[in-house]
Amino acid sequence: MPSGFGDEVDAIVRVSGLVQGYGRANVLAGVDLEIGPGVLGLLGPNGAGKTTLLRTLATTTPPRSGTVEICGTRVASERTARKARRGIGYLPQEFGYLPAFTVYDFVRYCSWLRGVPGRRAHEATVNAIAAVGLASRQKAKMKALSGGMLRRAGIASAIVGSPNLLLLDEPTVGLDPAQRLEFRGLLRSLENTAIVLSTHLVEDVAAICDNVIVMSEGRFLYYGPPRELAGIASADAPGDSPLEKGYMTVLTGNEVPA
Amino acid sequence: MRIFWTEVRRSPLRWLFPVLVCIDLAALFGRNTYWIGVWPQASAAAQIPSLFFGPALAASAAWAAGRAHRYSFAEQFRASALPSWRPEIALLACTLAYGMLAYGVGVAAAAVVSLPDAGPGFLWPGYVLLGMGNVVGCTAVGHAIGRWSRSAFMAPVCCGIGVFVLLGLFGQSLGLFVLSGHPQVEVVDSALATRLMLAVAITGLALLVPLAAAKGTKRWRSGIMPRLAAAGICVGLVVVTYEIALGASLQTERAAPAEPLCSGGTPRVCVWPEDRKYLPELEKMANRLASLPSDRFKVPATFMESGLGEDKYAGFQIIEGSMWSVSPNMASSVLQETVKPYCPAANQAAEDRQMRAIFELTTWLEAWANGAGQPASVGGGPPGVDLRQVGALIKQPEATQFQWAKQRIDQINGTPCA
Amino acid sequence: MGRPVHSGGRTVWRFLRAHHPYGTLIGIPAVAAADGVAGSWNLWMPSAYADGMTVVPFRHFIPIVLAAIVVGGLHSSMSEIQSTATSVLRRYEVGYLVCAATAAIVLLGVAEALATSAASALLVIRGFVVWIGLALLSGRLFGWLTNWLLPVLTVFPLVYYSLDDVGEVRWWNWTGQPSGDAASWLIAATSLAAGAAAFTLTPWRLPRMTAHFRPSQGVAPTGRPGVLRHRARRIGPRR
Repeated sequence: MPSGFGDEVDAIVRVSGLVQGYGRANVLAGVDLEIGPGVLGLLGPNGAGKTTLLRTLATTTPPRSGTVEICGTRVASERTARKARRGIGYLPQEFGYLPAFTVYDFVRYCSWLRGVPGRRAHEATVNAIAAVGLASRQKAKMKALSGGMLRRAGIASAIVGSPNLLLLDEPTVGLDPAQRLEFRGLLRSLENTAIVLSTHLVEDVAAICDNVIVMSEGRFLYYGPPRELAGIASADAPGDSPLEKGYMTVLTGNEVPA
Repeated sequence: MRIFWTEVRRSPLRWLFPVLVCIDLAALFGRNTYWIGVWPQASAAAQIPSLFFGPALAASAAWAAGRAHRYSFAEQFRASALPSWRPEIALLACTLAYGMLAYGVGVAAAAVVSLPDAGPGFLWPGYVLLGMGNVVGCTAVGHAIGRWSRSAFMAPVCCGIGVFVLLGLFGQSLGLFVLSGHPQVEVVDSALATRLMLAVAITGLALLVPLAAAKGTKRWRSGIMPRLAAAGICVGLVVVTYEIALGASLQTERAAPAEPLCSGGTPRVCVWPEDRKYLPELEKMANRLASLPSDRFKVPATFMESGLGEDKYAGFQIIEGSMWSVSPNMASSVLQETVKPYCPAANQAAEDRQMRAIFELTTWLEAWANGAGQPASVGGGPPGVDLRQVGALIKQPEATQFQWAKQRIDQINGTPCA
Repeated sequence: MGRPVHSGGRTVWRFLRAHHPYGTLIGIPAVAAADGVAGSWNLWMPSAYADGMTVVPFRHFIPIVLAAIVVGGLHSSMSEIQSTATSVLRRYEVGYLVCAATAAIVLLGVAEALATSAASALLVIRGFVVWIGLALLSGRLFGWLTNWLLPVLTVFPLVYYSLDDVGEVRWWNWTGQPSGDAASWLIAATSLAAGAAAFTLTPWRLPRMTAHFRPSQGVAPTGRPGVLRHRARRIGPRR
């Protein structure tokens, strides 16, 4: 079972036998996972189940079977899901926003949805906006922001209130290289937070992830540090970097290294 | 509260608000302003615009509530740590705030313009609350449907038209609104309470309606409390709807005051204290009737407004501030005192002549009391009476008119009884 | 390379599928049928008329829903992509409007004629023409999904001020005037013309048409313009 942390630290997320899907199809079939503080990357082709896993961890959809435990709370009902969400920050791949809201309004509103106490909400909102470099734009309307700024506002809405579990689905889409560097620095600065990062950009995985899971068709093909994934790349595997070659090796070989 | 003010500041309804205020004031002042200076009438008039707000606010609430789907925000709502009704309360409260504020502008305007002429007292809360109930209920209906429906288009259109049709079909029969507030009647507290409870029940349901889930995905099963609350609200909804449909009427007769407001002269005119602004004009009418030759006409000592006398249904009624509406009762009172008590005539021809004389004399007495013929805005009249002839007669010298009247009096008094 | 073969029917269906087909294909007949079934419902509403109440047949306002459905079909969730389309999309949009409006008129007219009379059918058709013009104008101003805004705003004056002090239908009240009333048809024609003009004024045409009403954009730059030299790199074998 993949564990994204050292043995001496308690897991923030424990998943056992998770089955999840849509309609008649099961996207995840029997996933076991433990996640602790640090950055865990999710790599995989489209339809691998990355977003489904993130949505299940965000407790937006109840699992079809299996158990999900977040911050010690076993998520089995609406009530326990809401309790767990107080420690979860989630940025969906296609996140929505209310166009008439300003950046401050939007992040503050999201902090309220997350249950951040009122007395801390203003400070948390300002800090989150500053952390993504939008302090000068906090009074701008969301509809006036560029794509990259919108994405940063979304990231701010996810990190506001210092969640214990941060789920980010393609967070760097639309960010320029400098902003991606800042984003990586932001993630490194979050201490004692379990971060699950679903991305197609192997450079982000190489730069900031402590461990990476390669998924395909709802199964975990690889788990381990990115450097080890780069190390198992075969010479003739396609790719422009060792990590890409390693990813393609695992994907085409369908092997989980011992 | 912070979130509520954020919603208010950023709501698209802030653009609709001036339109609602215009509609409110147009509905209030765009018709006969007889209600000015009469507290119950002003209250009833202030409540009327709520019927036009209702469809507009239902459509607006449906549009606002559908924003989660329209702006792809549903996923973030589903990941919320708050119970689903809390964000909905903020949004619904925002929509209601704009609706209530627009409604309040009309209520305030009605109060302000009535203050100089009206006597002691103020707006009657029953009518004002009735209008508020309509605003709340219609907004809640729109919110519920907008939240449940994934369509950003059909929900507002169907809500707006649907609420308009429901109010038009059932609004008056179910007592969801009143057209006037005569001082003789008042709102029944229990009937008002059931209507307000209907609005509250619909609001409760609107908050508990779950957000439409994406196809193929499961939703978390709600806890026992929300389900019990929803069930309780549904039962309550059925009960109050039944009570409204079959229960007590919204308005009931009001007990007469111990001392009605009366004029000082002879004959006296007594009105409900709320109708004090009409007293000077009514006194003039009574004085005009009193100026009739006393050897031919007998004028009652007192003219009383309906509901003040021993017989609650006797007495004149002031319909929409029209003094002409008062004159039939005054004229009939004078006629009853002047001629012999009515008896069926011995034959049909005599009966026809008697009735025609009664109608003509009554019509002339009405014109005499008003000092002019029947205005064009007042339609209809007694059968067989040429209103234009009476209108021309009233401009003739008094001697001519009295001679004409004497002929009718003699005809009535001379009719042989069966 | 030969010219591509277009399957006209499939293209039409693809266009419709991007523009709320089921709402339009089901909504128009359903509303027309509703006119036949429920059009005679009398709605009692307060009015400024001396009597205080006015009775409005539901059929007088059913065309608002039809107009909203027809014009709402112009909205598409692919509007960003469509904004880069060629004139073929415009032809399809115009064709859709004409066909959907014609279908609505025919179905509404038949339903009304069967339920009441031909004169009443003309009356509701006239109302539809007024409201579709307003819906197009509203859609252009506020977005196709909110095309119902201006039509709905007409409901208040049409109900509240429908009659004058002596109980006569006001001259501008097209829902209450007889089917042959010239002023009402003029209102219908004017509304339709305004709506058509609004539909024609795309985001490209409007600035061009209003250019000479706008002040000049500023002083032209002085000095030699910079020259960018770029030598393209040849890709592929030399001939």
